[in-house]
Parts: sequence; C-alpha cells; structure tokens
Amino acid sequence: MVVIKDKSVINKIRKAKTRRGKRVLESREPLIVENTKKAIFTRGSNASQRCVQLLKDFCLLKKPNSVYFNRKEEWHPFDDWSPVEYMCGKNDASLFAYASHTKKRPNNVVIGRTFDDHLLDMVELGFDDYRALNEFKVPKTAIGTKPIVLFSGQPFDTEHDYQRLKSLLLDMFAGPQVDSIRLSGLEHAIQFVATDGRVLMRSYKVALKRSGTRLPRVELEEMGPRVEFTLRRRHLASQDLWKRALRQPDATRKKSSSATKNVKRDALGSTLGRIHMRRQDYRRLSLRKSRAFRKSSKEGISSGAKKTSVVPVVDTNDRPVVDTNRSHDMPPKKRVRFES
Amino acid sequence: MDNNFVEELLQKASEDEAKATKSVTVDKQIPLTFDLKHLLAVDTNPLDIKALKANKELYLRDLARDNCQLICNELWKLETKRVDEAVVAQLPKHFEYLLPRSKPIPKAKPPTKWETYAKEKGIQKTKKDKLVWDEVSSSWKPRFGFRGINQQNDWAIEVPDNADPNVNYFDKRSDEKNERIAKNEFQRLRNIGRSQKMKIAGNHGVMPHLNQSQEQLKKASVLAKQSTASVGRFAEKLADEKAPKNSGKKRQFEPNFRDQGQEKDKSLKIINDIMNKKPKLDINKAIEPIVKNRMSKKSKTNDFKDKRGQKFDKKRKFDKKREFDGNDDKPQNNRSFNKKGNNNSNNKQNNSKPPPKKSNKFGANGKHRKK
Repeated sequence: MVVIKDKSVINKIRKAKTRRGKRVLESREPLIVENTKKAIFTRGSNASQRCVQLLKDFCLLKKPNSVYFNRKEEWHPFDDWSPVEYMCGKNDASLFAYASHTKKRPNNVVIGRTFDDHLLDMVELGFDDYRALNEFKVPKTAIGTKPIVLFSGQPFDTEHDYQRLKSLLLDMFAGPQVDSIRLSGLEHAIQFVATDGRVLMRSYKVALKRSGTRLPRVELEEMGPRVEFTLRRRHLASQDLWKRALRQPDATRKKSSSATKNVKRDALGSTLGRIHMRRQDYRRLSLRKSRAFRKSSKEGISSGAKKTSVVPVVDTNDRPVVDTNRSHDMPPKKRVRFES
Repeated sequence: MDNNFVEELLQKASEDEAKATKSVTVDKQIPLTFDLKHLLAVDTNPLDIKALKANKELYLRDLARDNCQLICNELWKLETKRVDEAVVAQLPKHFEYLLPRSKPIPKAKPPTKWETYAKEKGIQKTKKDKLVWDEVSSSWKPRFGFRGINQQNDWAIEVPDNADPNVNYFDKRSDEKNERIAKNEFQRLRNIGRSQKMKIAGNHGVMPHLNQSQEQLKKASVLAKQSTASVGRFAEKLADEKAPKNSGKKRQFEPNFRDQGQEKDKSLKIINDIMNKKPKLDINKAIEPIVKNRMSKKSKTNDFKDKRGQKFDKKRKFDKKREFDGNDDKPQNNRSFNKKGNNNSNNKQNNSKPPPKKSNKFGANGKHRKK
C-alpha cells in the first residue's frame, strides 16, 4: 500500500473546488522563488503581560507576513516540538515565536523556524529591559517597509551559536525579497549588538538629511521596541540538515564565475578581457593573410592591385607592426588588449 | 586683492566640500560586510566597552548611525532607475548571505503520458481563443463551459425510425456525458498513480460482453469473488465448481524455526535419495517406441475404428453392460455393441497384430477381455 506524502500530488487527487483555492494551494507548494516567510506568534498559558506585549510588537514589525494567536497554547518546544510544526504547517508559516513565563525561565521567548514542515532552528531568549513600541512617543514607519538590518559585535562573526542566531534574526526581521528599493524610502533600521552574553536590539527611524555631496547624511531616531536578550537554551539544526535547507535551486543560483572571469568594465564603459597567452615567436607569427600579402603574378599594374609584397615589419620591441590601412581587407575587430 | 578673494572663495568651497564629505564618511578599522539584497550590514569591529557602559543608548545610536551611513553609501553606488517620479536603486540579483529556505527545492514533475507523446511527435501546444464563432446561432460562444459551443440543451432530440421506444434519449445523453467524465477522471488518477509508480487496481482486462464465453465468465466470476474485503476467503463455492487454474500460493517456504528432528529427517532424506539413487524404469515408456515401430511396419492405418467409423476412444465405455454386469445402476446403453458377435470392424486387424503386452481392459478387438 503506497502512502502518498507529496502534498502537490495529494492536492491533485483531492482537487481544489475553486480556481482561487487552487491558486492558494499552488502557492503553498515548494516554489523556486519562495514567498515571503510568514511568522506565527503564540503565547503560553503562563505568559506575562510583558511577554505578550513583546510578541505583539514583533508581530507589528513583521506585518503583513505575521499572525498573532490569542489562544493560550501549552507548548514545551524543547521537549516536544510537534505542535509547533503542526501550527506552522497549517498556517504556511516557517517562522514562529512562543512566549512564556515561569519561575525558572522568566520572560521567555522561543523563536525558531521550520524547514519542510520540520523544525530547523530554535533559540530560547530571555529578555529583561524591554521598552515597548508604544512607550516611544515618536511617529513610526509605515507597516511593510523593508528595514536595514545591522549586526555588530564579534560574537556574530566568531561563535557558532551566534552565527545561527544572526541568521535567525535576519530571517525574522528582514522584509520581503525585492529587486529594487526606492532610495528615499529607507526609513527603518534594526540593530543587533552582541556583547557580554547578551544581544541588544534597537530599532530606529532613518532620516536622510542633505549633505553637501550626492550621498545623504543619515540621522537616526529610536522609535521601535528596545529589548535586551540573553541566550538560554538552543536547538540548532545539524550540519547536514542545515546544508540541505541552504540549498538553492539552479535557477536562482549565482552563475559560476568562469563565465565572468577576466572580464572587466572600465570607466568609459568598454568591456575589457584579459587573455593569457603562451610565449610566441613574433618573427614567425602567422598573421591574418590577405590578398595584399600575396605575391601577385597574375594581376598587372592595370588592374590597380598592389604589387608590393608586404613583409611584416618587426620593431625593436619584437612586436609586429600591423598596417592599419588594411581596414578594407579585414572585418572590424573587437578591441583586445594583449598583456604579457 | 581680487585674487585673494577668489582664492578665499575657492578655499572655502573646498573646505565646505571636505566638511560635507566628512559628514558622510565613516572610518572603521575593519570594513563591514554587506549584503545589499537583504539590506544587511555586518560589523565585526570590537565594541567600545567603556563608551557602552558610560552612555549605552548614545553609543548604540552612534554605532547604528555609522553603520547605516556606510550601507547607505553602498546603496547609493548602485545603478538607479526612475520609476514614477521616484529614484529606485537596482539591488543585486543574488544573495551573498544565504538564508535557509522554508520548503525544499521543487522536484521536476515527470511528464504525463500525453506530454511524452507530444514531445515525441513534435506536437506544439496552440493557443486557443476562449470565444468561438458559432455559425448556427451566429454569435460568439465560449469554447467550453456555460453556454459553450458544445453544450447540448436541446428540448428535442432527433431519433431514428427504428428507435427503441423504451429508451430515454435525454437520459442516455446525460449518462454518456457522465461516463465520459468518469473515464476522464479515471485516466487522470491513473496518470497520477503512474507518476507515483503505484500499483493501480484494475479490472484485469475483464470487460462486460454481450454474449460472454465460458472462459470470460469464469474469469469474471473468479475476479468477482476476489473483490471482497477478505479477498475471497469466505466466498461460497458451488458443488461442481473447481478451483481456478494457477491459483494458490506460488511458492512454499519452510518456516524459519521448526522442530529440529524434522529438519534432521529432511536433511537425511535428501542425502539418502542422492546416495541411493536408482534408475526409475517406466516400462511403458521404454516399450512405446518399439511397439510403435512394429505397428507402423505392419499396418499403416493404426486407428481402431468401430462399426460406425468413429475412432476408438478409451474413455468411451463401449461395453458398459458387460463391465457393470451385476451392479448396474446406470441406464442401459442402447448401443449396438451390447451384442457379442459384433467384431466386424476389427477382424482384419485381428491376426496381423501381436497381442499387446500392456494389460488392457479391452483386447485388440476392442472388445472387453474375458478374464
């Protein structure tokens, strides 16, 4: 008895009844260029007011790609993460955040992500100093602006756990994937600083002021939630699962550099190529032969053909001198610079 | 004097310019790593712990401002485009810093049966218009669907002269349509099953026929019996019904764990058979060619034929009455062979043939041998 697990096949057998439904199901299938990652925010039964406030703030930062669930869920992600996977699968969300508050782990937030309906990464963060969005009496940016994400601190570069956390935070807070951005629309900047076993999160409103030059002067004003996280438990993906999740389809993969090796564009806009040649004996170069080179026996002076047999002249630098007046014999060539 | 004034102006201009550029430049020990498609900047410079402790928020804001300035400088280097009164920067095509995907890479769908055929034959898909001109109604009608050109909502159907009066032609039409839909659905699911390489339950080629032969009926009945939840285990059998040919287990395997004595016996039996192998002599088989040879030499027509000219058939019980003399429950055989003196047919062959060694119920005559 063959059990079909492939969702796309199941969707073909249990067909969608409406065209709209069909489109929704198709968008939930694996795609070459994926949709923006959705996040679900759930609270535990014992989550404190601060926890809930934090979740709601993050939900706002991620809008419209986020869902906040009011119902209290009794999850223990580090013991049993199947309800997390289920919830994420049902909502077609790959990011999740679960807040709880216990005596042992006060003000706890577990953020994580899934791959292929299975848990990929999960980090438990405890927060102390937290100032909510509404505590900053400053006008905010519009929902849906793509923020500039900044990471500071050496742990993000050196420590493995922090590297994964960096990836997770970027996933969570970076906006949708875009091809181009309106330069004047850079309004939001989120900063993560890793020091002293903590990760500090700050969120600023960006103002581009006029400087004397073409480049603007950036001025920041703190507007968003201000949190200081401490890393608690973590469940990170194994190396091979991580590799598998990172695999990109061929269509979006960067073309290997062999197609663009040794090709440059100079300031004038012309494309320059660099060819590496073997050492050649310039005296015995076989240049492009044309009629003019041939020792013409048939053609007389009356035909008007050149009678002189041209021998390639070699200059003192052992380089052949090409007669540029033969432009009518040769087709126009692309400029290629020979570099020895 | 004027020269000085111009010089001063120039100097001031250059100073202003320097100041302006200074306002947008940031010095960092280690240059930042950017991924402009993410709008990401990673700063690996060590933090000024003193400043951080002294005035945390100010330091953090300055740090953020510097990093933001740097990434903005990078963004302003990108190629720009004008889109609806806005200046838009073209971000790079590919990510430098890869994030994990949420779903695996989609697998290439295997081509369907039609697709492979079309590719083989070089059939191209032609774009068809939704509306088709209908001559009959002289209007544009959709190719399919509601009020489509193929939809038949006739209030009257033409019927031939020899039409069956009990047939409802409207129902017949809708039934045919339903059948077509069902067939299409079946083929669609079969395609899916084929792409998944599943074993698809079929009807094993048993199709309904108008006048079914015995073989077809047998096959159908066997299949019908099997098509139960218990796969025919509790199906009732008629008295005369025989088990279908080639049914039952194809191979028998011994259980893994059994009585050691049994295993020993079996092994010993195998060994004994090998060691004590004796040639089996099938006398009948050995004699058959010789007999045949002799018979063929003496007579060409070797067929035993009875009075009526029919071939001799062992199975046919000639002298039934003779055979079952005392215990005759069966009705009397009305054949003329009951009489004794009916040896006409086999007389000529009687003397030529040697008596067969095979102990035959019937003698060379074809008659019942007297014991």
